[in-house]
This record gives sequence, structure tokens and C-alpha cells, in this order.
Amino acid sequence: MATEKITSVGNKPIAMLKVLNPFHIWALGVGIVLVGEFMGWNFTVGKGGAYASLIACWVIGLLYTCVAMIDSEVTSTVAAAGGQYTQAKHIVGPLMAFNVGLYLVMAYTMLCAADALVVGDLMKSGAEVMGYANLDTKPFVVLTVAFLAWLNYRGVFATLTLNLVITFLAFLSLIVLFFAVDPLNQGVVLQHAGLLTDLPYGWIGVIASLQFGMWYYLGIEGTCQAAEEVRSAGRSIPLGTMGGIMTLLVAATITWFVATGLMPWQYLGQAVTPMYDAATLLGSTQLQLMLFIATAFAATASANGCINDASRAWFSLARDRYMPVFFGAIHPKYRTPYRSVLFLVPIAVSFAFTGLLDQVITFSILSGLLGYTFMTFNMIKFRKMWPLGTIHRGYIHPFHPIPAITLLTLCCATYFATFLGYGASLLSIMAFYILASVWFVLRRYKFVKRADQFTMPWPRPKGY
Amino acid sequence: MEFWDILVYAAWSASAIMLVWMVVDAFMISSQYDEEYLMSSREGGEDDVVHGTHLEEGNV
Repeated sequence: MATEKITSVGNKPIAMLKVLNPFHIWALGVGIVLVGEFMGWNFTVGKGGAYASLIACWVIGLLYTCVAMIDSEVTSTVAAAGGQYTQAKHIVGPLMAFNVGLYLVMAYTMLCAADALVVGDLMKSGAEVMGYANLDTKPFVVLTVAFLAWLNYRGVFATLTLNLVITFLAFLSLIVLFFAVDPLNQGVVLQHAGLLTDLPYGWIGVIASLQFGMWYYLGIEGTCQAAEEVRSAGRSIPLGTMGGIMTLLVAATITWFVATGLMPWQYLGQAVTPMYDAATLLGSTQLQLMLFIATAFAATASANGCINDASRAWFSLARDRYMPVFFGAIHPKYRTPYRSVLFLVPIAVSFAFTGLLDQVITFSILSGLLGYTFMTFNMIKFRKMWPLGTIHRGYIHPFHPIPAITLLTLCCATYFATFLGYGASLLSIMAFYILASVWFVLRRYKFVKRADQFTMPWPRPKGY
Repeated sequence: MEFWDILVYAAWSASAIMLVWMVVDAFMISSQYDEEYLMSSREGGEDDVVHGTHLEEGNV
């Protein structure tokens, strides 16, 4: 006997729950990024020495401050999931939107895979310390992705509340480490006077370090993906995003200060877990344990945020039929894009099982960089199409167009830096996105219902 | 069998349970709800008031 299917509830279309506040947005943005403070950032030191790393920290910090300001302004008007994809769709056009959506999905899925690999490696290190060699990391990689996907499947509030707690604890561990090295008394613990050298590879080393400088902040732009699930996008997104970038600027500077005062640049530039090593050098078992747990928390928070963001981006692409519409479904009980969450699990696990952490991260960084480049054109066009006063903005970023021009300039410098270190990867990733664009234009766009993409009652743009 | 061996099996088992739970739940939802309803969400969600405040002139 066939059962009648439920066709509507309360005669309203299904929607994601608006339950998040600015703290959740902060946790989403900082949570994705903070693992970069525990590992990865230090490859900037290997590229150009300790001072180059500090320059990269602040120059790339400026790049991301521009990203955060631009994102805050545009997203405070676009209260929709998809973040930069949705912005591109409204402001530039479908081909750009498709590409940006794909950058987002690839960047976050790959970052999630890298984070899961880190959790697996941490388990292996922990087992080795306790006398068990050669622990298989695969089950812990799968468990990380499966557990976080399950959490994301069951609701955004619990997911990002968990992120808030573990991200705050991980950030707190950096503050504790900072005070543990007696920062006001140089020479007691910190040895900057002896360890800081000139630029060992000159200014080209500084340029080269910009690529890995992105580890300090990569992912803060992910706050926009929650725009459809916050109680007040116009208030929460700018507060959470700007609070997040300020937190990261402090965390990045503390990280550099502590690590470069304890380790020579030759060691630091190739260390796998520099902050854990810093705690080890201090000779405190409690600090060691704290940094071990904090690194695991940071990696977990990052993977959690990445699943959240990648699924929202994929869901938005599907809702507009840029991808199969099947993935545009929302769970009637948990109000999450459950099919998108589920779909991304095997992809993240597959990337993680390749074990190619550096390639996976490079793909993620480059996808992010392509997204930031788009944002510059997007911002200029946004202000032309909807000048100040024609649409309500929750936040207006200052000195326009200087942040957009600065962002474009710094993106170009970072492309050059990436070309120096990963030229082949850069070109192959570009080729991938060009092929994907051709596929979209020739085979996919015909399925898109053009008028259905724009359901937000925005005012007509200037000149139209 | 050592503690770590047991932990490996526990990790595989917990992963499998959660993944199977999600797949089964997804199938159950598909069987209970109409596809059109599940995919009826609109950009910006149900709270049109949020967007309504954006309109100052030239409403589409």
C-alpha cells in the first residue's frame, strides 16, 4: 500500500533555521583558520627566514583584513547561503558565480581533508609517545569526517556551538603559551636577540613566504556561508567576521613571537608541529599536553567549519540548478542541507586518503586565492550597481576603493609567490577551472531556470 | 589485543554507525516527504522581513 507523502508544512517553503548569533559566526571563521597557527604558518620561515615570516604575517593580514571588510559589507546585504557564490551571482553573472561556488567547495573540502589528516597524525604521535608504533591513521581520519558530518547533518546550532567552545580553548592555549615564555623579559626564555637573523634569501624570500602566509588566515571568509542561518545577517556577519580577523591578527603575531624566540629559523621552517615543539622546549609536561590537545581541537574545529561551509556552497549551487537539484534539499526536521553534507563525506575522505597533505593544501589555498581575486571586481561593481543609500547595508567598509585595489595587488603578489614554489600546481588548477567553466557553459547552464535564481527582493541596480 | 588495536576497531565501528545512520535517515526522509517540498527553499530563507528592510527604492 502506497503511503501519502508530506507535500508541505504550514503552506510555507522549507527553510534553514535562523538560530546563529555573532559568536557562532566568530567561531565559524576563526575555527576554520586557527589550525594554521598551530602548524603550516612556519613554512613562511623556511621560505625567507623569521623576519620574512613576520612581514608575510602582516602583509597577508592586510589582504585578509580587506577580504573581511569587503565580505562584511556585501554579505550584510545578501542574507543567503552560498556566501561569495551568491554575491557573484547577483553582482557579476552565472559563469563567475559557478566558478566561485566551485572554488568554495574545493577549498573547504580539501581543507577538511587536510584537517582530518592532521587529526590522524596527532593520534599516531600520541600512540608513539605511549609506546605504540605504527598506528593506522585511516580509521581516525574517517571518524573525524564521519562524526563532524553527523553533527552537521543534525543541526547547525550544535555544530557551531561545539566550534565556539573548542576554538576558544585552542585560542586560549596560545595566550597561555605567550605568558609562559615571560614575554616582557627578553633573554630569560625568549632569545630573539640571538635567533633573529637578517633575510637569508633576500627580498625574493619575503615574496616567496607570502604563499604560506595565507595559513595564518585562510578560511575567515567562510563566515558568509552562515548568512541564511543567522538571526540578523546585517549585524551578526560583520560583527563575527571583523571580530574574527582581529582575533587572528593577535593570534598570528603571538604565534610568530613565541616560536621565533625559541627555535632557530632553520628548524622552525620545516617543523611539523611548531607550537607543540615550543611547549616541549619549555620543559613543561602540562604545556605539552595542553598544546597537543589544542592542536587536535583546532584541527577538529577547522574540519567542522569546512564541512559546514562546503555543504552550504554545494547546496546553494544545487538550489540554483548549477549542480544537480537533488542536493538542494533541506532536512525537514534538522533544517540542514543534509544531502550536500552526506555527498561531501566520501569526497573529503578520498582526498584525505591520498595522504598528499601539501598538494591538498596548495589546491585549497589557490582556490581561496582565486575567490579573493574575484572579490575585488565584485566590490567595485557592487558599489556601482548599488551605491551607498540605495540598499541597506549592515556595515560599510571605509576608504573604498582602496581596500579592493590593495586586495587585488596583494593577490597578484601571492600568485607570483605560489608560482615560485608550486608553478605546476598553479597551472594545473587554472586548467581545471577553465575546463569546468567550459563544461558549465556547454552542458550545465541549459538546466538553470534563470529567473528562479533571483528570489531576493533587492532594489533594481543603478542603470538597469 | 592492545588498547590501540581496540581503539582502531572502535573508530571504524563508530564511523560506520554514523554514516549508516545518516544514509538510512536520508532514505527515510525521501520516502516520507515530497521532493518538491524538500527542495522548496528560497534564497534568504523564510524570513522575508529581513530582506524587506533592504528595499528603499525601485523595488523589483
